[in-house]
Amino acid sequence: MPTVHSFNIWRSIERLRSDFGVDMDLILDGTDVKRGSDLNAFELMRISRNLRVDGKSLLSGDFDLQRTAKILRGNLLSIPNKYELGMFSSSTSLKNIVNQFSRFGMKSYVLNKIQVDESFIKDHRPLSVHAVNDALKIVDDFIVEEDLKNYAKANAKDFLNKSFGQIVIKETLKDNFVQRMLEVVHLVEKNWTYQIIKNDYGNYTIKSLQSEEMLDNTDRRCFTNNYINIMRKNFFYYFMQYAGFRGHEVEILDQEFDLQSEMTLKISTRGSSFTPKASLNFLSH
Amino acid sequence: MKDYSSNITRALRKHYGITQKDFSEMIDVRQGTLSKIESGQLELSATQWISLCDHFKIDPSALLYGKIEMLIDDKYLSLDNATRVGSFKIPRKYSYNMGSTVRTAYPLIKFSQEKLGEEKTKELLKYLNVDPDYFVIQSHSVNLMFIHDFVNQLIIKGLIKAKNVADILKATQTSEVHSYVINQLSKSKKPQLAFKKFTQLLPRYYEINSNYDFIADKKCLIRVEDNEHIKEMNFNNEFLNFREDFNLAHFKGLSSFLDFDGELKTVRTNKGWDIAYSA
Repeated sequence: MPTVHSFNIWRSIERLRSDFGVDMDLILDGTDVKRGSDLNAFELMRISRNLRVDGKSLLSGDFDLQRTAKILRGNLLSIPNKYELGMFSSSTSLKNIVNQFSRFGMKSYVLNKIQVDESFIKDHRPLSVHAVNDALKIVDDFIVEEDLKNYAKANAKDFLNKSFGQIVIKETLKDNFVQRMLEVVHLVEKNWTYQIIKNDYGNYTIKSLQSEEMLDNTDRRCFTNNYINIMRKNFFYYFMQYAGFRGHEVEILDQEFDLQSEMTLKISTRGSSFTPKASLNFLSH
Repeated sequence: MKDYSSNITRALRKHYGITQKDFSEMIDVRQGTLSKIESGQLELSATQWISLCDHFKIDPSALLYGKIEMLIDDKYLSLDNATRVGSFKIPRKYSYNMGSTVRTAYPLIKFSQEKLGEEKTKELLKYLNVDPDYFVIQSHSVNLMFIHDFVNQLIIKGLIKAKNVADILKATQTSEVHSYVINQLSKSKKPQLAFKKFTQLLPRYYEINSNYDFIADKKCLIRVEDNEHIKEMNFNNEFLNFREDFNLAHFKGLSSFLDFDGELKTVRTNKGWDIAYSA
């Protein structure tokens, strides 16, 4: 009799074959395993590799069979159904998270675990914030402040290198830069709304709320935490720096993690200088 | 593809300096079972493997590659001096000024495995008094004297010759151990800038035995100069020649990855060598 875990695996394999028509030889390639038998560690990892599913998810049966079948048929851009709901984030965010943690050799581990192929994150594609959140949960134990900064830097560079980022620099004056930046950010990711209050002397208070669209599409679960807020704060700081600001400040004044979480940011451009960058090609290096 | 579960289990236990008894309790197997797993007489079950990975926070796919990144040990390289890591004992001659990680030795070990076979390579490491399991964990440190002795053994056996130095690198797939650095080097119209980035990443992930300065003038692309601690080590000429050629081969490999079409060569200087290029 196979153990409960082996039984789970065989049940998933059987469904891949019967419901999705996946070739059994493809699933069991490189193993000598008999159907229905108990699996050893090597057999588990070989099957996991063949299916491009993390070993632990395979063992527990907790993975998206439909997505696996599509991937095995060569559709590498297929992602789990849960990440297609409320696609208001960018795959760039996910790419920069996994790249940051690839120094631990975790890149393929995280991508396997959340069932997103590397091809999907090569270019900017819409994606649910759920995927970003799941990736962060996996690397949670290893996050240090520097990671959050590096992630924000990479995201700011990517964002500025895209046409929508360049618009902000080329067509915006210092006085309305913050407003324009947030408008463009909101065009690309609709997870947050931004209410901007311009104070005197180039100071801005920004109240940012989780958007209704995002909450409606993610079962009103609270997809934010302190890490995400630090990343967002740093993103705005580096976005402005790479666009040409010097001497500006960004700080979190207040944050609440509730059914509809909010963060209040202060962006100060008082005493700062702004020399828009003529070319953004330098950002890729 | 090979099952590395016994090597990994042994290496992890030794890294943490834990007895078989304590280790077996951690992953919920009997001590006798663990002993057989470590010696390859018994297979690790799927559940035991995942439980071990969860406990030590390692990527389960390590079982297929035989190398582990210790996720929580990641740090900037520093000059380690340690005669013991967990229960691994390191000979005194290899335990000072450890300015590289075992990654540096991977191409050489893989090359030796291809030429001599796995068992003979193990024997060679044991001959140098270094436990082969030490190389399973990628963040472990080594000094250049170990590389010197290992290379000299391969030279004595007639395996390394001036002509085949570049072939040694081919034994190890870049993606196996260098993915993080490669990920950060974007291909662009100016591959020289990627070389600059590479010189910045070197001391964090590979080695701090030499200083790499990105010069990029008409004569020199990168200036390589040994750091002070290297002067305390006495290397023979064969190794010095090998080291320079091997270093150049690394940069040539990188230049083809980056589509850099200039021809690279080394030019000896007082303190090391320049990686020079001609268009």
